[in-house]
Amino acid sequence: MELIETERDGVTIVEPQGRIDTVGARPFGDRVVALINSGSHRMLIDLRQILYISSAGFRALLIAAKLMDSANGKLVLCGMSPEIKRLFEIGNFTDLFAICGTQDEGILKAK
Amino acid sequence: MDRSKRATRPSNLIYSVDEKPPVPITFANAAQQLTIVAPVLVYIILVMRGAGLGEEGVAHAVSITFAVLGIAIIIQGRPGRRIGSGYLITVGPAAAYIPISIAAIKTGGMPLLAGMTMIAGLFEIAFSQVVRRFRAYFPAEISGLCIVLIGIFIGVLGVRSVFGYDTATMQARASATELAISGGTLALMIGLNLWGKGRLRMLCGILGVACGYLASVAFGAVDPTAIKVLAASPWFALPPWQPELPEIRVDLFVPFLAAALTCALRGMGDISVAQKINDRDWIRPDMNSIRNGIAANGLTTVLAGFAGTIGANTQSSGIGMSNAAGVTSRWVAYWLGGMLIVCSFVPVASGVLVAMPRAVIGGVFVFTASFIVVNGLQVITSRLLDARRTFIVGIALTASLGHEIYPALYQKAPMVLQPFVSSGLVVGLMTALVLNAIFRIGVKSKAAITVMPETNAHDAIRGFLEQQGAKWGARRDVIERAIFGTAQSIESIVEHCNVQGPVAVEAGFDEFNLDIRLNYQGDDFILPERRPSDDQIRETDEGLRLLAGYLIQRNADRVRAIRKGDRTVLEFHYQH
Repeated sequence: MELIETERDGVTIVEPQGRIDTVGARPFGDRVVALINSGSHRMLIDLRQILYISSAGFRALLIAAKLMDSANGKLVLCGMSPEIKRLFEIGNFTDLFAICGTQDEGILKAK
Repeated sequence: MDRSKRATRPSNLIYSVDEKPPVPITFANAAQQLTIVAPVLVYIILVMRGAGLGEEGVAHAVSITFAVLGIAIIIQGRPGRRIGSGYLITVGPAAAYIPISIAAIKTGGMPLLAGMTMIAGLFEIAFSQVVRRFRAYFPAEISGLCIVLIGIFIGVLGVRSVFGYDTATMQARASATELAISGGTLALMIGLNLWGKGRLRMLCGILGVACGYLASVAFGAVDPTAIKVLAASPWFALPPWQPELPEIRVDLFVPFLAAALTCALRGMGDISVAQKINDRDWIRPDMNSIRNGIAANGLTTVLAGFAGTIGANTQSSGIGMSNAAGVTSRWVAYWLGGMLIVCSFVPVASGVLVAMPRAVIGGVFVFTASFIVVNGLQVITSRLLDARRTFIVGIALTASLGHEIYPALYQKAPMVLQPFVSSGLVVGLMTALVLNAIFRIGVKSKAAITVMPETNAHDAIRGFLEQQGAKWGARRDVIERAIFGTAQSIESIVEHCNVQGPVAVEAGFDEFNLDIRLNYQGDDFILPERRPSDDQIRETDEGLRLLAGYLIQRNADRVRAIRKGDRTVLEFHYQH
């Protein structure tokens, strides 16, 4: 699991690449938690390079969302492909996350 | 039409097939469609002149053809149980019948044309009753290819009209004025379609035609012969019909039946387009509607023979225009049919239509072709294509374009083959059908792999199902669902089910069903009724296991887990 991290307008942008499955969910989840714990309370996760997410990936996102809530921060998701968006819908996750189309929209929402 | 499945109305339609627009809108759209039907009447003129008939004979043939086409469009628009596709589809004289009709008239006069045309129509009706059995030989990508070829065919006709290109002399005769009129007609229609609202968009076709026609008259770009014939036409006359006893000749059976077959295949493509533009969720052709539409085509050809004119088939340009205008209501078909019947009694009106300037016809054809081509491309690319299907689509498209660019290569074909090489469209379609029949050999409907627990399940499953999906010509979206369901299942089996040994994966496919079966040695696979809570998912392994089972169930159309001794079998069903 590769992660590209950047910052723009005070928002930490995390861009995972590949799959967030049983193998990829751990390093992804651990890194996001570490970023939140170190003070990145405005975060945008860009999923445009993700072509597969499984139950393990959803769990990692739920953990990150709860941690961000307790830190009074904002976690936004963006860049989902139609297939990834469909998985969020069938898992009833779309109401639990702020979801935007593009990075620009996501940054505005996360500020 | 298949009334058991209601179509989902696309957002670009203002009035879809089942909706009844207000009378002024229906009338205006019918008039718009009338301008689309008119240009193909040139085929009648070509046949009658080619057979040596004088101008009076030509005019009589045109008049009676108006009446036949009017009745045909009404029949085609009716959603009957056995006759009529139920869609707004214009009908016109068929190019496939041109050479053989000329030969029939020259050999045995109008009685022979009548008899052989009626035989062709009866054959087409008979073919319509068994067309469903050939469904496997007409998969979605060939439907899409047929639609693309139809669009290209119309577009090429349009370009030839714009430039006044004479295929015999290979010369372009259009003047600068005519080119400007073509460009202006096209620009006006495009402008109204893109930026016009409501009625301006709906009537973009007829407004473009009317302005182009007026400009042609003002700048002297109308055929003077047509003007002379028009000036001599009476305002009212009964359509001339002098029935004679039909004759048949056995040596003309094959070419006429071949023409009927090509018209039936063309009809399948046209009706598919009409279905697609009226249903946002269109996946594959509805064979009931196609059967009924081809039967209507056949009946039209029987009627045409009886009336002393040439065989007919569906016309794609009208479908493209109705899609552009956003009005596909079948009430437009009824009004259009009525208008054509009226025109058969009013020679001046039919004369105005037949005299439509070539420059205007060119602009209209290019406009409508664009919608049809894109519709066809969307159908082709909705399916996964392997090397077989790539060759089918690619070679057929190339063969079709080859005919358009080098038609002389096909002109020396024997009479019996002439209907099969009468146009690039037919060449492309026949090439695709033949290649598909050959390439189906060796394609199995089932395939299997085994996945070791320590391997990357997702990559293995994606590679397997994408490859198989391409061999089967499966829909991309269904294969994506199957990839997720299978990969997630294997992930969960490895994590939570104490799996021992590999997981066997078997996939089976037909055009309507994709079935996946996983077989492993290990614990039961849990398929929960309800989604676990967010806290359960976050904090417990059981929550994660239940989430996997929940996602798998919501993803497939049907899932079940069966215990067989120490093995568990998971069966997934996806509707295709």
